[in-house]
Amino acid sequence: MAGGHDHAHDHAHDHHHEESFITKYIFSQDHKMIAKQYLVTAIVMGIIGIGLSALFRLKLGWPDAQFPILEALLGSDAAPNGELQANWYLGLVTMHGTIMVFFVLTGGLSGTFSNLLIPLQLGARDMASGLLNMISYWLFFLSSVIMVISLFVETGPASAGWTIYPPLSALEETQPGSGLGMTLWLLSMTIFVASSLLGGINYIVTILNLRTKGMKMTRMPLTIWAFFVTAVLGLLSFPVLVSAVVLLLMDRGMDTSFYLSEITTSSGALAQSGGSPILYEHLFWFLGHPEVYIVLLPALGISSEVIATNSRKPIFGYRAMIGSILAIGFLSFIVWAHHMFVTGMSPFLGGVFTFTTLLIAIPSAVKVFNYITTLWKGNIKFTPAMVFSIGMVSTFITGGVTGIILADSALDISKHDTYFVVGHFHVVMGMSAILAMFAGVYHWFPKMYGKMMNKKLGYVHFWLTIISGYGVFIPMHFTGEGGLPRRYYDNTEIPMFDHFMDLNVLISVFALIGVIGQVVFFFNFFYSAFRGPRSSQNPWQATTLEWTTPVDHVHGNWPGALPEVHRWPYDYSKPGWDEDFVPQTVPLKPDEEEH
Amino acid sequence: MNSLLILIAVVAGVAAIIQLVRLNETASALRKEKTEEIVTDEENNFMAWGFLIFMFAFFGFTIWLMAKYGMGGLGPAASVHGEDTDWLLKLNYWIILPVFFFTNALLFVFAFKYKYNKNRRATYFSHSNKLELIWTVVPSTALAVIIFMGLKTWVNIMFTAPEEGNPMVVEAYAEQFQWTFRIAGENNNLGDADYKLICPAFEYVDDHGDTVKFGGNPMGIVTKETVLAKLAHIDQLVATLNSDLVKATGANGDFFEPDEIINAKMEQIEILNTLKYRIESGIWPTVMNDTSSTNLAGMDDIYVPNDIYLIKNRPVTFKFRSKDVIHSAWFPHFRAQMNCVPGLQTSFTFTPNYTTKEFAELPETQAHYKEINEIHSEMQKSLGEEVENVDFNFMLICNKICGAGHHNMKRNIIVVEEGEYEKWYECEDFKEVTPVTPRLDIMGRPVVYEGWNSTSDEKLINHTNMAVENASKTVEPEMEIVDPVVSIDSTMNAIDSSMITDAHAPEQP
Ligand code: HEM
Ligand SMILES: [Cu+2]
Ligand SMILES: [Cu+2]
Repeated sequence: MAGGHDHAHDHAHDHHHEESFITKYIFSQDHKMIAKQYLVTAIVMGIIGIGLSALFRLKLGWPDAQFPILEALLGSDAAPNGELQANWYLGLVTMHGTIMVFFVLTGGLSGTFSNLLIPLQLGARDMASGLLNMISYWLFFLSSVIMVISLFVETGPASAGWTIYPPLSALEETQPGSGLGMTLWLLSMTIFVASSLLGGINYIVTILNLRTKGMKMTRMPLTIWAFFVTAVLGLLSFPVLVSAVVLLLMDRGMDTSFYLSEITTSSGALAQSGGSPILYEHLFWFLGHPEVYIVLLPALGISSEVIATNSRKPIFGYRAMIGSILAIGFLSFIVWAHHMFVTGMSPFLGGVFTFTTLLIAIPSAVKVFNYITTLWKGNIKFTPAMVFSIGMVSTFITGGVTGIILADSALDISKHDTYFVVGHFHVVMGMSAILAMFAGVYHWFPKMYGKMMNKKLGYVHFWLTIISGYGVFIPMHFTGEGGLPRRYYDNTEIPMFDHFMDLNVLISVFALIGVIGQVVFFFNFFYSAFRGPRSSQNPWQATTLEWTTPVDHVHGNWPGALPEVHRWPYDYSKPGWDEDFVPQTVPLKPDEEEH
Repeated sequence: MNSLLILIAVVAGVAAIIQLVRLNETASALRKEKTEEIVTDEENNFMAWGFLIFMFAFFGFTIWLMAKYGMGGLGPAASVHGEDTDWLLKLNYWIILPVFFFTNALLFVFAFKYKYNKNRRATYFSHSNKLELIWTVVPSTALAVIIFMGLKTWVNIMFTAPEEGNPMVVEAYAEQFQWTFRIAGENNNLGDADYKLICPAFEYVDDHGDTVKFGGNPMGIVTKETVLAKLAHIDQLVATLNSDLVKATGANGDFFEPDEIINAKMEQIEILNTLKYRIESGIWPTVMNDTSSTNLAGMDDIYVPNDIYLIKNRPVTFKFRSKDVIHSAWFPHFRAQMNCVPGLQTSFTFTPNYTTKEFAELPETQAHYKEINEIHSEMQKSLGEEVENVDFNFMLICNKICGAGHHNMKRNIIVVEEGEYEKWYECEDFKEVTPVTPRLDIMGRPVVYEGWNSTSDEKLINHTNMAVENASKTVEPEMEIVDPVVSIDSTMNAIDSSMITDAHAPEQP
């Protein structure tokens, strides 16, 4: 807090320098520029990831049809005569999952909004280390490039599913995608993790040390709380993924046997013995489960902010919200084995993990009810960000309740790896987190670009997204209930699932509508970034510090002294004030209570 | 129905594009106009009603799906514990569905009701300990019920003593991309298996000078006979390799063939010798003695590369192994699932409580298969194919991504009464086995298989020569199940031929 002052001096000089194009737009150390770089990279990755899903949905919806477009896009190896090949189907599914989970929802979501908002909402000139921040982005960029390149290798991209369980991912002779494609995947993920760790350390240090005067931890907006816990989760769990990946690389290239034992492939009996693929699963999910909250917490933070602002009401139960973020963060480390109920793990452990997993539903329920109470007797402005946030709460409810079914080990026996799981996690990740990410983009676009996005296109985008999202993922719960396994290239091989043929067509149709919806967004985003109308300084009439900075970015964020904070961030419609919002910088009146 | 849906898709797509273009025009008009309020009353109204209508559409859609496909849409369970889990599932649904509808409704109704109004001010309501306590305690209570009931069921399923109810023991062996079974034979005791013993069918001359026709050991079962055969097989391979090397050696000790080939062969010999050493020191001592327990347990095991039979109301303990990658044995009707993990034996015990025939006659099954057959005949007619009916069968399918043939890894499970089982066991029914669909290679294409000689299809490892040969006769040739084991020698051939072609290529002008 005190550190804020000398910092001000350093930067006061800075913005007299003329910056070259390269230092301003490419190797920038300014957190606002880095945030934009993250966002644009994530959008490009998102276009690829969503595009892939449209391609494989064609196969699932119309298994016997020929789609020349597939051949045109993927080449005649992958889709001769427009018929997608099984290996490539799995490759597309794997790359879709990887790109969406890691590049869009982890790198993109945290990278964009943590970078943009942590300094701005805390009243800091920049991140604690601009250099680390820049390196973090460029590592992210590099890993994205490698991941995309792996789509073009001759034997196809990694195709063992986004969780890449060995031995399938370890042995090239079990599928072509486990050759060069998998090596690139592993390389890309290792770099990705390095990027997240550098980013995460920076976020944590900035939050702990660079808050402006008066910005107590208990006056931080919930976004910052969410980013903080997210960064801690990442810092504790991503290294475990790296170990898993390094051990896998050694099994692949150096004849070690961490994960391999008693295997016979087309090259005969392998010498490796003593390893266990289950070890990999434990390591992976020790990251994997916290990872889903790394995706979700920023989404919850963003929605809290947007919902309070646009309901013109304080967020209900600020402390309970912080408490539940912390509880979710803690619990997310002790539930990972719920992904492994049927691996042959000790049934006793299965019981323990059922218990801990179901506990997570409690803080989640608290959050949902707090959101709903925030709306209650509010004065709601349906800005595009607000409608996306409402959608986020709805999907969080829907995905949370199906999580309860999965968490019950006895029920998961017949739900595991079916489309029910696919439905569940797409409702929470593919919808909740994505909707919140959109909410964040619409809400802070004026802060990033100084322009407004088009509202009407925003609404169209919203309706197409939520309708198609539910249209795709609700039916998946039913095919899953019917026992349909996920990652099947062709659902018609097993006759007992043939009555789902219509439903699969319906899902594919909604998926294509969803893709069209996203085109609306991409258009709106890029169009508005260049030609959108100029925004005012505080277009949503919000209380937080980022709206006290000038519309045109200055290096160091505030041209003069740093703002001082006198109150919590949710003084909307406070009795005793004429305006329906009181910015954090306004001192309390003599007899005013904080909240 | 299909074409209708496609039509809907096209119409919706076109409508969306038109909308896009139109809005784009209004968008540019809007840009010029000065905005006072961030969101106009009209827009607020529109979105508020939108949410309300959306809520009904969303609920309607969900209810329609529930009505059409049912909660727990798998139909009745066909196992004893499956009935418990289905009950548990219903209980959970009765708890979470009200929560789902109620909470979503609150959200959308509040969004509708509290839309913006210039003349109103939001209520400053920042917290209430009482309310927050309520919605911590109420969900906790509901979850306590869910946890308690869930754990109770879980314990009942997973913690049965191994001998309870005298289960029959069956091994399911998973590999890319098929299942094979082994039944424990008379002693109901599965013999050990070791991947090092996996071996194709071949002939060799034993120590007494007798020619032994070995039927192959695709699952690596450990008996005295299989160990001896494997050792003999290794010797044969090594001998061939050695004689190749001798042939390739010139008078002055130089090799005719390129170094890579020579080195690959030497390396193979090295590997084979290590393998032999591991078998001799690790496995041989346990079976050396004809009457050792390992030997006895393995001797009478029966290899079943086809559909497996189970007995109604008799518990069955499935033991799972995998040869290559992780697979998952998913028996949807029995509500049973367990991963098959290389290097690890896993197991799952359940009790089927319907015969296949009884289950097929249940009204739910009848309805389900009637629908399926309608869809099929419609499709087959449209493709100009002969209309074939599908009959109900319990199934075992793969539920863990395992490569390109993952979607096609299936077996029927046939549950019968005790008496009928005996008949099958005496191999009467082997004659009528359903042909298995062609296996897929790692590219997902049907295997055209050469490496494993045709007699290897004899489904049998040991002397238990039961009438299995009959089975292979009835299997149509092109539908033949191809044995998975690509032996070391076929790999050698592969290495050889590829290297030789490579080596010769440059010589051609
Ligand atoms: C009440 C909260 C939740 C509970 C109780 C819960 C429970 C579960 C369980 C038990 C599974 C394993 C299912 C299986 O593989 O058989 C699962 C899968 C999954 N969940 Fe959740 N979940 C919850 C919320 C979330 C959230 C908020 C997210 C993400 C934002 C999420 C993302 C996922 C993902 C990605 C998977 C599947 C991973 C895979 O197998 O590929 N879940 N969930
Ligand atoms: Cu999880
Ligand atoms: Cu599989």
